[in-house]
Amino acid sequence: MFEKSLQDLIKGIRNHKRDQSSYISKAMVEIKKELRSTDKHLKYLAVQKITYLQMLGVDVDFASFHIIEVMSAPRFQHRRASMLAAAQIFDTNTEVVLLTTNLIKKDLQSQNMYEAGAVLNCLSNIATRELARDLIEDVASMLNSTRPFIRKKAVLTLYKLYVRYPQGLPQTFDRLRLRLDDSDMSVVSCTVNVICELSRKNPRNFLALAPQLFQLLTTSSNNWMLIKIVKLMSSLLPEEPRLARKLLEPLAKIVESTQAKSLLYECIHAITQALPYTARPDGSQPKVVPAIVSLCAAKLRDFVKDPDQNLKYLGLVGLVNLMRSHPRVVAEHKEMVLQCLMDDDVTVRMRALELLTGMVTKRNLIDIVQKLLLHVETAEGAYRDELIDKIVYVCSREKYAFLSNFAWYVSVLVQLAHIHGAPRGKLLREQLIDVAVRVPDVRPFAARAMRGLLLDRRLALRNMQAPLETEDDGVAHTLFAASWIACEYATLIEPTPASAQSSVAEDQGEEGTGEVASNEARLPTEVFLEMASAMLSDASLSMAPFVQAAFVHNALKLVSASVDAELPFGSAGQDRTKNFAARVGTMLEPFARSEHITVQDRAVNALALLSRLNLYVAPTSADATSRKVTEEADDLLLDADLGPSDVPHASTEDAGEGGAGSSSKETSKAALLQKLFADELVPVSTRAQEKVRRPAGLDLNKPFHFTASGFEESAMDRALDEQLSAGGGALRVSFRDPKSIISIPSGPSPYGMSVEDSDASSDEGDLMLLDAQRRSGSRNSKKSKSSKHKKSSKRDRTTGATSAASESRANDPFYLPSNGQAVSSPENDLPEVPMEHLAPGSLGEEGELLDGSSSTTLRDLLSQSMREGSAQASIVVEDAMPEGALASDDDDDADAYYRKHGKRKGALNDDDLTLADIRLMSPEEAAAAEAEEAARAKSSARKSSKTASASSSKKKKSKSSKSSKSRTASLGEAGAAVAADAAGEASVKKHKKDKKDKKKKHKKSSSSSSKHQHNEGKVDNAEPLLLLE
Amino acid sequence: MIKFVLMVNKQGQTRLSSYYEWLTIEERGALEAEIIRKCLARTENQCSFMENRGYKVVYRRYASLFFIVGVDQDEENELGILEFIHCLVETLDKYFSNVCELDIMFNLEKAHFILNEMVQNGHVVEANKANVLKPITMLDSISK
Repeated sequence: MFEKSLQDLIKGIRNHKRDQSSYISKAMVEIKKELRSTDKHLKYLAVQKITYLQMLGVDVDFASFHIIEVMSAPRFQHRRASMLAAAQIFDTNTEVVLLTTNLIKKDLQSQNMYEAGAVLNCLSNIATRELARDLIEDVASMLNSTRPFIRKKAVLTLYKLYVRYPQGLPQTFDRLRLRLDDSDMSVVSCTVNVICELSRKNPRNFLALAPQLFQLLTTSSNNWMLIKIVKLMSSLLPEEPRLARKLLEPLAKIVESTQAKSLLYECIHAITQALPYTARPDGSQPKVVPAIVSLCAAKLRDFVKDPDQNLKYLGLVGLVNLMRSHPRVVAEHKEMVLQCLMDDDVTVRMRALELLTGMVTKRNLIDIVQKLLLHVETAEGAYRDELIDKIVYVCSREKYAFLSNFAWYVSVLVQLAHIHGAPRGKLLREQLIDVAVRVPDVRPFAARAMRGLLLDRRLALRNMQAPLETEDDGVAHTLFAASWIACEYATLIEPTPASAQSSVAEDQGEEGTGEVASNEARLPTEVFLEMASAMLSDASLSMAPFVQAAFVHNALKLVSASVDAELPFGSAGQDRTKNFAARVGTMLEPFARSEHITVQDRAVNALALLSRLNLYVAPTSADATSRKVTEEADDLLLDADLGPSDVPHASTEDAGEGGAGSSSKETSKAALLQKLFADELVPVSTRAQEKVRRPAGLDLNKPFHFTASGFEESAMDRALDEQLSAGGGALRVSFRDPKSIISIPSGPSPYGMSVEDSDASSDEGDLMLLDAQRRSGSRNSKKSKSSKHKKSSKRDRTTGATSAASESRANDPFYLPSNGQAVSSPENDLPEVPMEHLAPGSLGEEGELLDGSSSTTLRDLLSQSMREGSAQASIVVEDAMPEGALASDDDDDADAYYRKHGKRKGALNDDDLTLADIRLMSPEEAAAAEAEEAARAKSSARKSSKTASASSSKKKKSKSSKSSKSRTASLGEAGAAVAADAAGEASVKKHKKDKKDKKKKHKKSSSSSSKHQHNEGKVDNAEPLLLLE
Repeated sequence: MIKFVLMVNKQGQTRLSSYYEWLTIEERGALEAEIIRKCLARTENQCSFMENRGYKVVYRRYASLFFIVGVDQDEENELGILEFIHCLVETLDKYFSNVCELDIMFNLEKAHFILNEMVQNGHVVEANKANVLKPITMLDSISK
């Protein structure tokens, strides 16, 4: 006899610890054999074993049919086992479930209440839409059973049937709600359970039950049920705010009297839910509110102080809820909550953290963040990330409303950046850049701090050890921000007394004190060299491409900054600049051979630009002659374009002071580089483009010129010159595509008038693009929005440019003042950032450089170097291009897919109805809806007999007969929609959901199928009726 | 509502599982493994609640066996669930008299029936030990 019971199987599995899987697969073969046998008992044993194996994770789908076979066995013991198996194994896709319909029907009528109970239990697990539809009447009739045992199970089973078949709710709900008055408490409790669950989906349906529930709340003593009633009540609150005032006192009474912590907590929870709604229409609060709030706070405090961790957790959760309506009361417990941050349990710590972030005010921000920082050091995992997120959140929320000291914040961010593993790197990066751009006063400090980060070998090393693994973490992000800030504001790095005193003129400050300090401290170029070599070291080559690209780009900025800084030192300064540029060029070489296209592109561009400016000579100049020729051409070009009046002021001064006369040309070239980055980065809203009016007569679709090359060389230049000299032109140069240098003739235009669709300015690539645009672009639309009206006088306002800029900055909401203390913040906040006091170089006179007319030359230079650069790179690029990189018609594919499969969002059909869509109605509304439905049935019979299929009309008939039988319940709007076909129904639902989009949706659905149009029209008529209530 | 009830031992072996919301076998396996790993990582002096992938896990350990209940986030009273777990264990204890892991393992069906009497469809039906056991003992006597 090879009969093997479940016990044998379990023992067998335990005895075969080594080769469990092979034992199980052997057992499975036996089980399959047993299932096919005719012996009922054998089958029963097999089903038992299957239930067990399924729990162990074995796929037993094949057995579904056999389970149903056993379900029809004469012995209840067998049936019960198979029902259990079905409940465990079947899912909504098990097709054979349909076979059980009659079996279940029969068993439901069983005289043995335990049999009926078991089958109800099984049904509540395996119910599918079809089963629910066919059996809901049977189950509903069991609500009137004489036995409470059956009644309560029927109630709970009904809930599952509603979930599967929402249309069943209106049919049977009236019988269900009668169970609230049941003589047996457990039945009432189950009913409350079900209604509670239903009301979560659509509370409005159950408002009418509130008085009855309120009665139960005040009289019952069953804690299980009370919890549910309290839950149910609080889910009704948003629908009926008046309930809140009524609930307060009975809930408070329970809070005071009950011994059960669970009920106590539930009531407090409900009170905190109710508090936001207690205000009367005239705005006054009921008298009891303060007393109740302090009662809740006291109870919650007891919870938090309780040694039981569970209560501590719930106490914190409760306080979080209470904080929403009464933050002050909760803030009193700050110390206690801070204690919880040291708890062993991470769940408790998380809650305490959430609570703390809500407590932050302007006054205690620094205090709280310092405490959090202490915890960051020791924390790990998700909790640490959460800590960092919260620190950043409290500091930056509401546009830094709580923050008064930005330098402190920068140092906090730097401290966070040093955490091992650099969690949330991306977040820190965004914050750093945002603060530096928005808060002009903090820039010198930020630039110094960022230089410290760049020079910190530990960071780079750590990046090598743990390369960028996820999107959001990693040192790479921080280094990106560091390089950007340090180089963008490189000229501010030297701390000078002047700039510390006046919060306005960074540039002028340096100019004033440069010569005094120059002998003691290091030269700016040395500092820049240090930064550049940190950025362009070999170690950087292994970093993420976007960081490398940023490094390359920012190194170029450093060269520009050094031109700036060395200008007052005459020819010696120029030599240093040249040397520096040459060093940078050498360091850039490896990047020009990078495997990443962006990096390579940038490096090649930078090299071309440097060599074009005679600042750098490539070591392997195979094409030396051609280079020479182009250089000469350049010189000619420069001379031609830079008329004597256009030569920067500073260089003529140099010459006058006895510096090398020949250096004049060199300087002017270097000055061009300087101009490349001279402008300040101005914020551009992502929606700025929308605000720019398109100039009359501009047709963006019209080609500029027939051939691209001709366009580049001739007409463009002339057009540009004209516009620029007219003083109103806006010019954009894009690094993305060297050929797309496009001018837009326009009047005074603020930023954002960009030919690129600058959609994602958060992207680092775009950030740099923005960089390039504003620098090489319009001189005249410079600075900020507020100064744009004064465009015409721009040329004259050379000396006042900076002060005007800072003035306009003060008026611009984008920039944030730092309350004066930011700049002077003590360095000891920041021990790990080495700080050097440097000789500040002075700037050239900005006004001169800002002269618009020389832009043409610059653009020419740029475009030429671009062309050359891309030509150089093209060979390598071809190799580096991944396969299929050019094929990019993916967008159409998705559409095609949807067209083919016919399922876009909104194509709801009957199956997609959820409980939330079901609307229960009062008798009057039901009658109205019924009349409406009848009218529709009539007209649809008349008009659209073609479209309505036979089955759907049958359905319709049965529906209307049903609803006329019980006039109290009707399907409501959604139910009515069942009768209509799928498309019509979809539109009904859409109407219900957002009436605002009515017209649009209307158009959509009518275009999708014109034959449903009249159907839909009627639904429109029905709408206002159904939306009453 | 209750989404699942698990009984898992310290080695991570599932002794009983009952789901009230359908999950595939793979999902079940992954979920059980993840939860038991988290439960084991927690110490006595940590609270019995965990938040995990959008639902709340309430668990309690009895000797070598973890009783784990997953509920909707914010929709179920945590203390109530703890109470329910205790009630379940007491009921099992009464039925098997001094219940141990092996009792549940070898009488899986019985354990399921008891659980089904207490929880149906994700809702607690009955928390009275006597009421829960009445049908079970009665059917036992019939089938013998």
